[in-house]
Amino acid sequence: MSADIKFLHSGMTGAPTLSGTAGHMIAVLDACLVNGFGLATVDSVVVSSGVATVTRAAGHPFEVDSVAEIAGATPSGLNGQKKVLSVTSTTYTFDATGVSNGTATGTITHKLAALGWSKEFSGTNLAAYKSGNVAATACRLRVDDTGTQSSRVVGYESMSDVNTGTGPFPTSSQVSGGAYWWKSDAASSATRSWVLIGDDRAFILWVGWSTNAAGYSLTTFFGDFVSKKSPDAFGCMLSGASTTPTASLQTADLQYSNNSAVGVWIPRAYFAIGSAVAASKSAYFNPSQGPNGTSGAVSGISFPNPTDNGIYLVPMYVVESSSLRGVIPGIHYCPMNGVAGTFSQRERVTGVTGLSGRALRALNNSGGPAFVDVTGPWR
Amino acid sequence: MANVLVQDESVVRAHLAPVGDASISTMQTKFGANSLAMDGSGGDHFKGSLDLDIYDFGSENFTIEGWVYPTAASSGSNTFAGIISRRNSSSDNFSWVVYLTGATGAGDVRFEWSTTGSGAAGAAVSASSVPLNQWSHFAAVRNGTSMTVYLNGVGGTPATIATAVLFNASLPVAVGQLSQSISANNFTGFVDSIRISRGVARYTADFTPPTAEFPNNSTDDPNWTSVVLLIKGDPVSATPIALDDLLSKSDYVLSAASFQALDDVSNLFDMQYGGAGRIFGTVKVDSSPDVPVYRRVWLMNQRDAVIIRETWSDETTGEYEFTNIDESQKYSVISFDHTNNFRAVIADSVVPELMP
Repeated sequence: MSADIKFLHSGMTGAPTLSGTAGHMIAVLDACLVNGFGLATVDSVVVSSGVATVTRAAGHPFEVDSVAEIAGATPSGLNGQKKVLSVTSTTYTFDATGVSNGTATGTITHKLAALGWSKEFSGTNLAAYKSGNVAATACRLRVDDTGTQSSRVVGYESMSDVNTGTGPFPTSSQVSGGAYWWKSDAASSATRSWVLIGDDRAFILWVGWSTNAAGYSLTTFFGDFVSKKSPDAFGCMLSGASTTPTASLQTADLQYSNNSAVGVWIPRAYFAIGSAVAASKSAYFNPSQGPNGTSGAVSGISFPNPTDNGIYLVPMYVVESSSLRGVIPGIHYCPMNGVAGTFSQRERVTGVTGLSGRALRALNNSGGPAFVDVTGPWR
Repeated sequence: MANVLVQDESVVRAHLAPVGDASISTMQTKFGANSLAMDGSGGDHFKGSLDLDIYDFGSENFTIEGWVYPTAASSGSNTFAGIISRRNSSSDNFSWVVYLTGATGAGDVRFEWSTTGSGAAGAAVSASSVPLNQWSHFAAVRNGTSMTVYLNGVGGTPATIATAVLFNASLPVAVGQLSQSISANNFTGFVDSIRISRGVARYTADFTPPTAEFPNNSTDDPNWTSVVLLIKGDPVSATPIALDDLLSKSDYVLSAASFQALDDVSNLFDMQYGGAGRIFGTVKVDSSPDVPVYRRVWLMNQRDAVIIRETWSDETTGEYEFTNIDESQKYSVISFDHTNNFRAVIADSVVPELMP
């Protein structure tokens, strides 16, 4: 099973803390994109009938769909990134097809695998990240995490140091100082939950920035979308808000299908000339014909669908002016009304028609859930 | 029978849900086994769940008809008796409404419309009032510039609706209440066989009221495709679904047949460079033996020098393929070594072969 997609969240042992504190967003991104977390030495790895069982009496951070990075084991086929198939409090398993039965030797460590990005430049509460995939557009994500309640993020076509880059998106005229990724509604050490799911070219970040009972959250995206253009050297997008945390702002949320260009920026238009363009994220490939709204809480089909009691999911598109530029990978939008409260946060959903063999996780916002593919591949 | 959805047999499938203790009843029916029963107290009515644009008639013809069996004359908070409405109040989201005026007996049937969403732009009234305790057929028909309300097939004085464009309300339809935001002016009695036909004036002169149930197919109804609401008072068919059950996930989440992800939109054809041809090959590092490699490959149209496709060769076999390209043109294939050990390689004047 492919271990391309990493599924990480704040509830996992060893996860970095997110709060309204400078530097906390970079701590989360460092851990998820670059370093991984939860490093520990395991008690044993036993292979039986093509399945490896790892035991650590002191516990482990993994859950089904997460990816363990194993090192130090002999035979070497046990090392590397492994999709976790099942867990107990002290054990977990992964596929070890081709490895002989027996107990592995060596000082064996595990950790939650990172997405495989690199941190190209850094400064005090500043960072620039780059995809580690040679097929990627290699646009950079520059994070200014000096603020407390929000980080400011800008994509760049290229960078020469942490403060210098070309081809920013959004440009300073689009959002001066960069788009906002919200951390917390309080400039304090009160913790906020987060979920990060992605591959080595793009990721989706969900932050529950308020403890308000309405479940305020902001879902954002950075990285390469699946472009309709081949080749598309600038098929990268950054999504985020244009203001500091506010309860009412949903339109910039990745889970919000919008028929106008709000909260999404691409380094260049499809014809690859000029500077950044704003784009719309829409669950309708012709967004002018589709309603605006949050996944699971949008005017449209009743939930469940009256004809078959079904729940339906559709892709989300990046639409640039009147051009269908591409598909946003990973996320599945629910074009229905009244789904809120049906799925618990990160609830695992399998057996979806049209997504055979894939597991999805529900990410709730105050309106309803969107679903993110944690099996992959996304592209 | 409480809490059972009332089936909309039109293709819209905009089922109605009961509000208050409105219910499906077998006590009085015009056709079929069931009708909708409302006792006039507690704001009882039936309401759809969705704001459907299909009920925004614009300036099109339409026919709103059905059967009513009022059991009480107007009184108290039910000065008027709403039959079917698409308005929140007389000043909010007002598109159109059909109700009983309650002047004598159950009153005349009155149709009002609004072009601004606030305040009626005009009204049409039946020629006589609706008798109590028996079934009466009503029909509100727009025929071009004329608006007529028929009672038992007899038309009232036509009102002039001219070229009015009805207001686009953001509401579902409701049966049995005058204004959707005001719990008053409810219908008391039974309602059966409500039908809304959009785009067609079914009655343009006095007529004999239907003697059978409204058909639900194009064989028996030549205007079937214009039907956007058809309520016969029956519960949602097959297995009736209790609202409580709808809220339990087990009904749908674990059922593979009903949790569906729809495909990406299909690209029918590349109008510029599409065709039936394919170009394929292998990227290798020249050695003994050659080593297949994973590299970026571009396909350039040789005539206009545009890079029309990009792919990456397979990590194991080094194979690449471009499909569905115009077989009548020549191309150059370019492969780049991102490891910077070699310069790019080009194969030019490549002619596609036809796809298998």
